[in-house]
Amino acid sequence: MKRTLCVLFALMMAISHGVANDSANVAMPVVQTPEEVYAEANKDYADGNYREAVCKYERILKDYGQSAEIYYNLGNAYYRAGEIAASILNYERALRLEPSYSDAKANLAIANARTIDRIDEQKSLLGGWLSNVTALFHSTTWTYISVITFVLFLGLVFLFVFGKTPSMRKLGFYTGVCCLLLSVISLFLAYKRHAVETDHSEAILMPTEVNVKSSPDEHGTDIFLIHSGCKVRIGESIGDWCEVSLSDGTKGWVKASVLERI
Amino acid sequence: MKKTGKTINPAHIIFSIVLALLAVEVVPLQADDVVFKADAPQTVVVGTPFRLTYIVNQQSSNLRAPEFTGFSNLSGPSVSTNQSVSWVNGKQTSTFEQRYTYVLEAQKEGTFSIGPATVEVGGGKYSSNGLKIKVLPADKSAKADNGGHANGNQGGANVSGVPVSEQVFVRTIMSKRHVYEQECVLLSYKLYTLYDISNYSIGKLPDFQGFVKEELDVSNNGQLSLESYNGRNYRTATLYQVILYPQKSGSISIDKATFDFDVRIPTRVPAGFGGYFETYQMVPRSVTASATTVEVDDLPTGRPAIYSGAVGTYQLASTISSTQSKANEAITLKLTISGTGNIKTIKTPELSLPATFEQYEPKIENATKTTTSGIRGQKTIEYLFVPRSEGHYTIPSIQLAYFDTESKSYKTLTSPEYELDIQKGDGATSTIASGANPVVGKADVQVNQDINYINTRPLRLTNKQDSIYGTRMHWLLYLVPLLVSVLLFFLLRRNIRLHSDVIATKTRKANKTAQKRLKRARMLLKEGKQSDFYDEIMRALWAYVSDKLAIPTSALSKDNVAQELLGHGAHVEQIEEMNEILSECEFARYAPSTQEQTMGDIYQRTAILIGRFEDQIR
Repeated sequence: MKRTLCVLFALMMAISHGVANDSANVAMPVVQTPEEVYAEANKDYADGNYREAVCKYERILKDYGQSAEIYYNLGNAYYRAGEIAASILNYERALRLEPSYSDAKANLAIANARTIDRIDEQKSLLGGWLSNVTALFHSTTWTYISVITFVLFLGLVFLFVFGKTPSMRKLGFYTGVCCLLLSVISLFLAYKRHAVETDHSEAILMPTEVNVKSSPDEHGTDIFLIHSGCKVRIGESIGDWCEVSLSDGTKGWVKASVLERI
Repeated sequence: MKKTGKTINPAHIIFSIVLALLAVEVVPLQADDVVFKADAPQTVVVGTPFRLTYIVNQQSSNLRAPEFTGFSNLSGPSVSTNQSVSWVNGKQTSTFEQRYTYVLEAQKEGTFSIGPATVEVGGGKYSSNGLKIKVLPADKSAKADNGGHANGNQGGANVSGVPVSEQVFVRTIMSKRHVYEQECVLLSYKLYTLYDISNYSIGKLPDFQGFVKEELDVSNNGQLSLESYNGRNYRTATLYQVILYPQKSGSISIDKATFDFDVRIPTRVPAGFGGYFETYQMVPRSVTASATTVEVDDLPTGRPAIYSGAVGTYQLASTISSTQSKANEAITLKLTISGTGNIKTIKTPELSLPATFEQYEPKIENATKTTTSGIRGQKTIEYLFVPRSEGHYTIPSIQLAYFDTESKSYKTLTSPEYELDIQKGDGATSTIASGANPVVGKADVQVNQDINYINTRPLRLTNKQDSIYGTRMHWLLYLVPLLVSVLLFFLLRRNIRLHSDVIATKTRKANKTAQKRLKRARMLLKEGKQSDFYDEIMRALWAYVSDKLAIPTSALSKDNVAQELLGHGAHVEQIEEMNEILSECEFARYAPSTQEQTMGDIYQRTAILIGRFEDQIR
């Protein structure tokens, strides 16, 4: 009985303590809008306090939401602070949100030039063209384009069916077919873009160098060595190991902890 | 006595000088241009006579020679005049020369000066240049043996009894034995000879390892000068000279060099009767100049931070193309380093510009001359830069640190600072190749790779999932318009169908309606209402055609009805019949009275006509 009481008492103490802590936490922080934090971070960057800027950008991302610009600025701050792998990661994240972000592209190229691994990228001509077109708009925009052209198509069907003169019906037919085609294409692009936006299978290698194993265990044979900043695609994962493939197609296994998903 | 071959001796030198003077004085002279000069060898030997000549280019008189202290006058002055007149291309030129010649002999060694002499030309008094003559001691063994053949060979010493190695040799002469790193040292190989030399060539030179060398041009024109060395008067000539810049500290050795000469050694050939001919023999001789070492010291400590290896004595000057300019217009800053030393190897001093300036690779030009005291000249460095935005800027001073070999200390030269006032430029036009200095081509522009600056536009935060793609809303956006339009489609379809049904019914019921009207017409006939009867007949016909053809009555007229009926398959006779009935009715309506029989007839015909139409029209 006495013991139970003791436990109860301890519990109460703990709760009250916790409550006290919480109330202190609530009272402590000065309420800052994300814009203020952002402005402060930009000022830190301009003054050369890159580490501080990194912390502030990270806080905005954690507490308020994301934007390609913040990832880009964070990438810049990491680059200036000498952490190339982290800067590449954030440039890639910015580009995932906004694939046509030219500043991010340029800086990513510069950061990539400072990494050790040079891997031939296999990219088909059509693939590059397609991804460029996909990058034009956000998936929402593509969706709206698709919907609008679909509605237009419906209207033109009416024109085709109930048109008074043959020329009106002709017009209705051809423009209707065009609109339907456009609608389907932009739906496809919306799908592609959405896939890019939600794709988290690419990752950046964070440690200075990592031995890639042939099998998902510590005693597997080392196949090759990759260095920090290297971009890989994550395949299947077993336990805390995951299969990665480089852009030239080579595959192997690394611990999931060395990777940071884009 | 017979002399063969070319000899080098002072008499010849004098002669050649005189010839040169003559050549110069061919130019026609005006009366006032009096040239009066003294001429004598620079070095003479005690006890050997030499000539001192005063030359005037005009008729002169009253030569007053100075005191010849240290010399004794053996003969003179002997006066000779020489006049020549020549016609060249129809132009007459005349030269005149009057020479006063003294034969002197030095009495003791040392350096003596002979003051200017004066002469009178046409009432005016002119004085000559003064001379400095170095008198060398006589050879030790000269007096005893110098009887017969030394005349005209003033320095020519008797060589018998002199060891071979002392007859012709080459000395290695260093200007300094102890130098600092990068400080220049002059190395000369000098020939000393008692014989005439007719030919020489450099056999082998040291490789001067550990030095940067700059060769000097030695042009002595085969002229030899006299010099007393180890008690003998030698004829000397510099064979090879080089400026050396030691590149490392320590004791650096220079190997020996070899030179090859053709030496003319006089020999006596017996000529009978106890006499002899004196002749010369060519003897090739290889002479070695001794090896030597140079002690090179490290530059002293305490060098300035910006020091980058310049040694010597330098001055610094700078000019700027403009201090008031527009953005995007190129400005050049010209820095001139002049002086003596290792000027070619001076590194280009850094010019630190404001960050918004675009700086190009500086253009460097060396204009140097190698002299016995080192490389002298100037290095011009042109810094080209383009301010990219307007504002007020300061170009910092450029500093050059060097080790001064004279004061043995480091010195720093500083160019002035420049204040630049840059106005707003015209658009984005970049005028890199500005003015007279289009030195920078496109290839020279080097952009340093650096990341772009952060984004500072206002923040647009988005939530993690905000894409409309794939959401229920997305598919509804398709579905709702689709359903709406399908609904609309069917509604429209039905409406149209209904509309067409009305017409069909009308057509179907046309006969019935007509029969009804005919029935009423019959009633009217029986009642004897004449005009109403005809009215009803007309109405029945018109209504029938209108319903049958689905054309509103208002759109029908006598003119178009025939056409429409034909189009629907009615025969011509019936159409004519209809027209007949209609016109008869119209006529009868307003006629006062008609027979009952006529009315019955019309009734019959109308009924038959409608029946016929019923069969024909579809």
